[in-house]
Amino acid sequence: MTWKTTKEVMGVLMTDESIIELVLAGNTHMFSQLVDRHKDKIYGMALSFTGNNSDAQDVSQEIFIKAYKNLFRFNRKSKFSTWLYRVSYNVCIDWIRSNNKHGRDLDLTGFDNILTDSRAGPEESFLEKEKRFILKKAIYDLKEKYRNILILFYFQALSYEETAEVLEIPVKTVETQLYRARKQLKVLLKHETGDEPYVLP
Amino acid sequence: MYCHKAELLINRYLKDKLDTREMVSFKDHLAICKSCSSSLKIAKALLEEQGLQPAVKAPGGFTEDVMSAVFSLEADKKAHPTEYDQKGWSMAYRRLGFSLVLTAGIIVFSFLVPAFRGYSGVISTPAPQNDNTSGYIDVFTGLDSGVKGIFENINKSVIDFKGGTDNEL
Repeated sequence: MTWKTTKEVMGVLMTDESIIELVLAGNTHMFSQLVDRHKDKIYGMALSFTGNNSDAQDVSQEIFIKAYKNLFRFNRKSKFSTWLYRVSYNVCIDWIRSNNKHGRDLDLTGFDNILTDSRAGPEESFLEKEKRFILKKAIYDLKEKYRNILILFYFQALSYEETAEVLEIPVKTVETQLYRARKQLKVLLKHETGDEPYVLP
Repeated sequence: MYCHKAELLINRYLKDKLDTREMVSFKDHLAICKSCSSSLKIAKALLEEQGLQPAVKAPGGFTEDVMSAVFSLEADKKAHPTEYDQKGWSMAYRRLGFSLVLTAGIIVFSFLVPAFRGYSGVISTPAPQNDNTSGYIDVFTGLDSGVKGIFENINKSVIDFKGGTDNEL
């Protein structure tokens, strides 16, 4: 049995908003609780946008530092996690633009892992894995606007409402943009595979 | 059901959020529309991809690295407080903005109000020839007498209201 410190127990019991109040009151060390809670998701998001672990680490640290600096702007109209996602999205987009990264420039090394990923089970054929690779490559070849919304909605598993809040657009616009993104993806996949429709097992 | 409507329902269909009537219309449309069927397959592939994503974990020591940067930031804030005074800067900008708006308002008001005595003289006086400096001086003199005129009028109104003379005040 491990004994947790009082701080750890308090951190587990407190809501994000309560911790924020403490941080803003001067208890800087409590910010580590927020980082611990959200670091995996934020790191995952940064990885989706940057495509490699090294840049994802830098970007995700920058996200938390920016969140800390702007914590006083969090107005509780949405959940803290959604607000943090919005900060993350803005930092990721800035990173992509300042590094002149386009879909094709992104390091797709991570996607090679799909071909050897054992998580899906040995029964998944190499052909199916290759299709997944093609799908991901096509996503990164999309226009920035469509790629971003697919990453947020499908890979980060945000809801319509959360995606709308992050992108600061209405929910209906999210639906429309997802539809257009899939349409674009269809064109790219047809171009890639010469196949219509993109055949799934 | 048209394709546009069906496309918008795809995600809700995959998450089993369509009502009975929508479900029937949607499936009937899929049965006859190859394009929407392939869109459905793509959406399904994307959702499956989401499920197949390996669980991402932030690297070891991540929180410590972030907190190290945060504590450095705090130390820097203590050393240079005015640079980080976000709320203070925001108030300062608001005050500056208010002052600028007030000044601009007084200037515009001075030009527009015909009863403003100081200005009638400036407007009717022709611009001096070949002497821009004295022209500018006249404008500022007019401004000054204009503002003076406003306050004289206000003062007079106060005296009249109180029913007394300037000396009594």
